[in-house]
Amino acid sequence: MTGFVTLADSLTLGAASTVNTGDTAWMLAATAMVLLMTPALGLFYAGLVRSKNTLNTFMMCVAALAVATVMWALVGYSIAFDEGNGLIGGLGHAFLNDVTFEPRDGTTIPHLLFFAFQATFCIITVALVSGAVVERMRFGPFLIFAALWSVLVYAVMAHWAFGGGWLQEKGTLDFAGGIPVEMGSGFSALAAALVVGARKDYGRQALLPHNAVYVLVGAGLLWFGWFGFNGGSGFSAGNSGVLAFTNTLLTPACTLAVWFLLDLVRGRQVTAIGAATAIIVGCVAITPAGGFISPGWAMVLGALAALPSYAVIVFGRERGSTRRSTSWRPTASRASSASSSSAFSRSCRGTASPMGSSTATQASSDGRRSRRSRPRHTRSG
Amino acid sequence: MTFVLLRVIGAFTQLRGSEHEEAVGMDIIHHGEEAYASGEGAILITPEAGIEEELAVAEPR
Repeated sequence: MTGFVTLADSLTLGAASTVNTGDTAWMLAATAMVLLMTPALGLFYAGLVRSKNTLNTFMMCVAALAVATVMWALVGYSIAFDEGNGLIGGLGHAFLNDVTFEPRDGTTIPHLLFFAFQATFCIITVALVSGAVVERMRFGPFLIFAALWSVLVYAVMAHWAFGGGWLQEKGTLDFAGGIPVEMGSGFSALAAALVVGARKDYGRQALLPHNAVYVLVGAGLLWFGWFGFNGGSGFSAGNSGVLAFTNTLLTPACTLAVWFLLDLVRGRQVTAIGAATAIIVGCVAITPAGGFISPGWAMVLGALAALPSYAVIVFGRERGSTRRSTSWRPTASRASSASSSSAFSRSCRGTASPMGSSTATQASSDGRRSRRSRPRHTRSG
Repeated sequence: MTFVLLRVIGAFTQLRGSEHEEAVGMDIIHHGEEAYASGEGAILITPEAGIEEELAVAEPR
């Protein structure tokens, strides 16, 4: 808990022990916005699969809404945010025990609201993993998997990064959850794809996205929800929240602009699915750094984040037309740019200013490495 | 961790659908509904009515 207090102190600029109604109002709205990200992700994924699997893909995200929420209330929240030790939290808050209207330590919002906000993070992360197994995993086993995964994997990682675990003790600055959310879901998606295996017809026919409009609408709604995701991660309506909010506008916009430029410079058409990918890449890139860097550097980060993802898509496309859709896998772009941006946040210690260009280069090369391996696995197992 | 978890679940039940299920599409097999109905609107198939029959209707891929 001490680790958490330290972080929260730095974010809220002096924690008060009373509930602040302004902060609470914003966090209520932010929680609903983050919740919307899960159906948005369902839409995004549904557009990317073939038409015969549309509902199943969407339903996996709906399943996350149900299963992850219940598990989070029962034990997940406690494992993530009760004191415990560096590796895992205790069971003091199981079944919402002691989660009340009193402010959560280090914040100015009610503990109940803090719980609800964190629940939405758990839900979206479970939904993200589903992207690796769509079109072939049975629905029943997925429900079981989602229930267990949300507790055994997500809650534990959330404890490490937010709940006073070892990552936080070591001073990792992860503003809105690049490590548990994006890296956790990314690597888990890789593992899940390995276990479940490739589609039977993979490599035999083109696996193309069936509805680009869904993908764009999904990406748009995800972007909207991300304002709550990043803007709410300061747990206040204060400066860090405002900064993260604005950066959530700037970074994806820059990624998008650079993406368009790259398409045009190469003499290609600017594709809708490429644009949707760029939005997600930009949102993921700003997540861990949102409240720590100045708007100018957020724009630079957005521009740089476009490069590794774009490179992989070009690389993937050159590997043959049947594999084209490989590079569009959303899990791939999310996971890999998460690793790039959390590398970035690791090396960016202070607020705002100190971000040398070497940091950014390191971040993008880091992202490029994982990005190259990931799309292949997610699609092919 | 995820790998182990899925292996354990996989030991009790089949994780992925059969080749047949994959070919027909997960919507019809697991939800009894289609996102894009051809002709009469959204369909709900009872398991007895025969997924096999529906195969002919399902879009060829």
